[in-house]
Amino acid sequence: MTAVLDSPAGENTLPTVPRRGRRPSSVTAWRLGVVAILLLCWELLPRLLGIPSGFLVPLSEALQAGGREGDAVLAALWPTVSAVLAALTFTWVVGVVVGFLVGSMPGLRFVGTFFGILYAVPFVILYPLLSVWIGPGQLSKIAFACLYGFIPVVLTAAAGVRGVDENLYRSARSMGASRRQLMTKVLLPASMPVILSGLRLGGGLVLIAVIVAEMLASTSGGMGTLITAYRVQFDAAAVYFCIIVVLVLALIMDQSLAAAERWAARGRSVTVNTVAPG
Amino acid sequence: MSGNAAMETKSTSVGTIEVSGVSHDYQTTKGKVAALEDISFSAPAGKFISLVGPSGCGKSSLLMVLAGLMTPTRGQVRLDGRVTSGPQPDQVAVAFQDACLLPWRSSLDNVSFPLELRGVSRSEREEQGRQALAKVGLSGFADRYPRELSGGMRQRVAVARALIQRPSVLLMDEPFGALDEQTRMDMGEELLSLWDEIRNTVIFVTHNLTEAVYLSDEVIVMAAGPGRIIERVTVDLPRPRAIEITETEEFLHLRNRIWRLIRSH
Ligand SMILES: Nc1ncnc2c1ncn2[C@@H]1O[C@H](COP(=O)(O)OP(=O)(O)OP(=O)(O)O)[C@@H](O)[C@H]1O
Ligand SMILES: [Mg+2]
Repeated sequence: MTAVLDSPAGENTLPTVPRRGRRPSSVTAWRLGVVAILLLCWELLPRLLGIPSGFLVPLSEALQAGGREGDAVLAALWPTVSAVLAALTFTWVVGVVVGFLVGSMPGLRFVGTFFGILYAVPFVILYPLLSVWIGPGQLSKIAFACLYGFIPVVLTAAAGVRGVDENLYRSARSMGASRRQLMTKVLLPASMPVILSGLRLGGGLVLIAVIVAEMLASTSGGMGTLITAYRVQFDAAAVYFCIIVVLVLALIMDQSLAAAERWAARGRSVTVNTVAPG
Repeated sequence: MSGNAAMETKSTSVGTIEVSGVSHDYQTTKGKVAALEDISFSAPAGKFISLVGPSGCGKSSLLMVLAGLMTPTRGQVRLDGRVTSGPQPDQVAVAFQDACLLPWRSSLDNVSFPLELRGVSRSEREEQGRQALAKVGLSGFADRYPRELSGGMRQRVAVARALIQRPSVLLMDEPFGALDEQTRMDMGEELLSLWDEIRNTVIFVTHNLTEAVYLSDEVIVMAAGPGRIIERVTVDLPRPRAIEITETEEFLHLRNRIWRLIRSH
């Protein structure tokens, strides 16, 4: 006991904490295994249980539909992706800046309260209005998605900044940090994990909003419009293929943000099972 | 220009503190809380002074005022004869109870943070940072995040970070408060041997009377409601002090006297 206390440099007295690095390969194997089993169930269950293909199409048929409708899907992808990217850029950049200001200036607290109330409004009722005002094209889609994604980004960023330990701020100030340095070297990195989780939340909503807008207005193009078209034609296989494509889009966005979140939370959360892949 | 000014203050700074008539009221929703009332004392350069007193007697508040982190309602603080306002990072360094390390930075980057704020180059920061870590016995832990260190190690990093500012005044608010008794005394011993080389002015807040007497030249005893100084006890035990001194009769006599003072208010 005393030996431990006497030697501050005793490497073996420390808890061993896994550092940044590769996820143990067994975990990757496990996850891949689970995904494979799920996909297999998707393929086999409809056939074994005799589920009508109007309800649930086996995986292989959905993929075949993708081959058949590849050009249409490819053409629909860009309107969706570009609208999502545009709306993401706006909600993330403006949302974080506004959230940061609201969180760090006590005088702006009421803005946060206001957004909190606004958050309860189901904005979907506004889309018809938006499409009348701006027209049913890309622009109204983007505006609608911004409306959806903006508030959670602002609210989370504000909460993240407000949650920064006052003592960190105080001690940096005693070391002579300027206002600017306090912002960039203390407040921002300290609240970054929370801000990123807000971006994740907002990002998900932006994607949903774009697809919903596309479903509501058949002239706007994009994946949502395409899904509606296939649905009307009773082409369940093609609908399922489109859903797969949208899921992949969502996964790519979410996983890149999750990786950024883990990086930003370095030194803070336990990172045993959540180390970024590769 | 500003660099020159910094150099000048550093060369002339010796670390005398004069507190005159400092009172502080906190404004709360339930009205004013008088945290400090008419505090006056002076600390000559190079003295180790402890602040003790019951919880809520305003020790932390006083330290915040001294650090320039809080402007008192009344009264002023002079540093080397000059009335100050705001933090004085070239002269005054602060170490808080929970170490206040930035969790996303390694020990090395935490220790050299004050230099980074001053715009010191990376290589210079790294060299000074490593030296400072070596001083507190943490050479092998430069790349660790704070969470990966023990409480005592974190506190050592905080001390190293304060010392890298080369302060003529070092303010510490219960720096070892979260540590167990054994580690606490070890840290006290280490702090004393570091301080013997620097001999700057230290104001040290603690609840632990043994620690206060062991470390200090003078113990300022405070009472609560409102926070005020009730007595200043001079500790004229010889230096350098080994930990065994805590068992001598003179030591126990001083400690008990302070204990009675606190009890009687
Ligand atoms: N931010 C604040 N707002 C209102 N009152 C405060 C604030 N900080 C401290 N106080 C009050 O001021 C008084 C002094 O507090 P302070 O933290 O300085 O005491 P302390 O001696 O450091 O206590 P402890 O030993 O428990 O750390 C207490 O009554 C406390 O309730
Ligand atoms: Mg305190």
